Amino acid sequence: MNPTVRRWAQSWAIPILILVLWEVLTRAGLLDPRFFPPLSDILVTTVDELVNGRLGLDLVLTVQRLLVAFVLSAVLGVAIGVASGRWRTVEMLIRPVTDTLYPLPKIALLPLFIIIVGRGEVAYIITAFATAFFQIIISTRGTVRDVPTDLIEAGRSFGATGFRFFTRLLFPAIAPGLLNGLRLGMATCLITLIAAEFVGAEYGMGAAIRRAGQQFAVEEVYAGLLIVGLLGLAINLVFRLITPLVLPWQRRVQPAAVGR
Amino acid sequence: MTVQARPKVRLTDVSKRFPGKEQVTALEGVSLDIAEAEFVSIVGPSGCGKSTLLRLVAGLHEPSSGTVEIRSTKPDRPKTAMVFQEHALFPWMSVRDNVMFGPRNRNVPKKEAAEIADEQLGRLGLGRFGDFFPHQLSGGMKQRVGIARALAQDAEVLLMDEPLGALDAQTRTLLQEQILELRQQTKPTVLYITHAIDEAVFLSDRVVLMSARPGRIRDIVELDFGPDRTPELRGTPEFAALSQDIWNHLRDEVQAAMAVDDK
Amino acid sequence: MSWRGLREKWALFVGPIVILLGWELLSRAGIIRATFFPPPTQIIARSVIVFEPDSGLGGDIIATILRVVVTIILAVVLGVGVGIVITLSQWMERGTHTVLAFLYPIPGVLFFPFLTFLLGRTEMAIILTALVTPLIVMILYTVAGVRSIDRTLLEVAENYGSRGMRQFFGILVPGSLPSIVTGIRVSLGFTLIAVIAIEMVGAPNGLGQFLWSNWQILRVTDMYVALLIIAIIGLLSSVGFDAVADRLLPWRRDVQGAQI
Repeated sequence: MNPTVRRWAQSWAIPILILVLWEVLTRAGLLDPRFFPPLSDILVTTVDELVNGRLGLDLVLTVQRLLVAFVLSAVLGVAIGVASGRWRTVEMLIRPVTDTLYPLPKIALLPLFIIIVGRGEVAYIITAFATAFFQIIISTRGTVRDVPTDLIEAGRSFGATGFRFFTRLLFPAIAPGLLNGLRLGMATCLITLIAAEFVGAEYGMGAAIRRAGQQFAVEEVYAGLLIVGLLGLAINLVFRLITPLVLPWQRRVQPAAVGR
Repeated sequence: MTVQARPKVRLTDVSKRFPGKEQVTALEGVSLDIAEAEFVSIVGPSGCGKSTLLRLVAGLHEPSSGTVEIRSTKPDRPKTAMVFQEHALFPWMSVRDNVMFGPRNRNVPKKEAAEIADEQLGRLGLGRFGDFFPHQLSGGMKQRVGIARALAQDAEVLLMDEPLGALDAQTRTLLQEQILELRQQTKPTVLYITHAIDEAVFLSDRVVLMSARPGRIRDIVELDFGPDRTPELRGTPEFAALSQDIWNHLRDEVQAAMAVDDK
Repeated sequence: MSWRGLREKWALFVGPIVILLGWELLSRAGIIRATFFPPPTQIIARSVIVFEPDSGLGGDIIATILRVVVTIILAVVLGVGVGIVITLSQWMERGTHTVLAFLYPIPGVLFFPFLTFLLGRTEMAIILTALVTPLIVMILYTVAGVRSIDRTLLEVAENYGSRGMRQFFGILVPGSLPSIVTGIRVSLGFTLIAVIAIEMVGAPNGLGQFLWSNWQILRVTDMYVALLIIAIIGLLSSVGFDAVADRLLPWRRDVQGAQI
């Protein structure tokens, strides 16, 4: 079997098997349909809710909040992270703050935020922002410090100083690590946002799942979970697609078995 | 040097191809006999398949065609023991445990295995370091542990894959002399891979020259310095001449290999 | 501490001091609303309620910590076991990776309604819900850990006759330990988040629940006390964990673990 085809088959064999088994076992009545509705029903409900029900609105709201929270955390996080990685003084200034606040689950701050800014969009956006913000600072700072000093010294000796230092030397050097950190940051942003919506919102994917749960509408719970999973997938896909555009000099790693 | 009637290691028309998007032929039509207690080096440009050849003898890969035979003198002796270039010691095991690794896998009792390990470590001048951990040792010391581990196996054939390649020149020179000494003590059958021609000439009875990929044997040079040579050998004109001669043979192969950019 | 050392490290203290001092002053002066941002001294003074049996906070702390500990132990034991078994087959490895990568961005707390359908509002439901994300993380890090074992070491193992159980415990487990340890560290964070979030929506006790009930009655200072405790728990677990890990695996810094 062609190695690429083989890889693809290996990645999808088990998931497809699970899906097929699910459909078969639930239709046959072997799995309780109150807890495990058939896959086809879930899919129908998902589409139906998206088109006719509130789910579409919930989805749009979640995506909006996600984008705002992520863009903010990315811009601020990268800026501070780079400064922190580059200048020791900055690092020492902010390190106690970031390192003490990072382990605190930001979801715990949600009630406080709601008290301060009310139940509107801002509270959930801030919660998601806060989690991604600290994470991106820490990962960016690490990426900057990982740049080999040899590379920096070589660049400086060839005249990359001042502004050029950042554009020609530092940013290309940290771009791969940065992109990966942003991908993880966006995923974390999503997770926290959904959790925050679940805990305290009226609208949004997290809220939709909580509502469905309260009404024992099992299929709608699954529908919500499915969409959230797809959102996560979408994020990874987007990053996978833009990486070769942003980092054209990176080759795909070939798993060749060539000996020397 | 007389080649015995039945060689210790015999490769017959061995080829190795690796499948992939572009199929790679690492070795083609390699035939080689190695006699008992003979020290054979393989030199060649990068990518010429030297390491693949070694792994075929070790049994880590199967040849795509041709055969690899190793003549056994004792049934319970392992066929081969490899020494690697680096990253070869288990960081979570002590030095002694690393050297005992092979015997323990053959269910040699702990006490006996430990004695074997200490004996080999002593031979390499590392008797004191049995309880140390690899991350506490220098590069040269780690390589010596790797050699001790291979010796502890008491295998039919010793396979060494550029064991000194990751070391600085001075440590390398010193270890070359230690390997020579060991050779004179225990007289193992050795297949040795190296980039350094002077190293090959210093240590071996025969030097095999390989071509650039696909790897074929280009030439085999017999050395008649004898097994009792001393480190002074390096200063002799014969040594220099031979090393230069081998390099002249290899130069265009190395250039050919450099021209093909590895993707 | 010598003056020299102090001079070099001055920046470390500036940040927290400025923030806390600023907060105290601004709050006392009424420039920021004390009802939303009570002065730090007030928060610290109020922390004595930890020791007052009436507040129940002591019990809540214990409940939360217990849940975290149970969940993390389960996640590690199950995750590492499953992870190593998975590496035996490329079909299993790739297939489960697809499934896990899909489930990973779904916040564990979303599964809470489903688990309460199945098990009612029990402690088991809470633990199993909290278990979801850390378990996925542990499996992924374990698999990556086995994969990250230097190829040379595996060749050594094979050449020197290592097989079966001996190979499993002697090579695969220790070799993947650095990655497993990183995974545990990450899982700890996720576990704390999950437990707090679940407690906020559906537990009879625990720090999350304490936060929630004090939010309903707008006891802001009490909320801050709970937040302080949660932050301390988070901080202690990550710092403490690093120290323990370095002790157990002194070669950890030497080896490149796997990156997820």
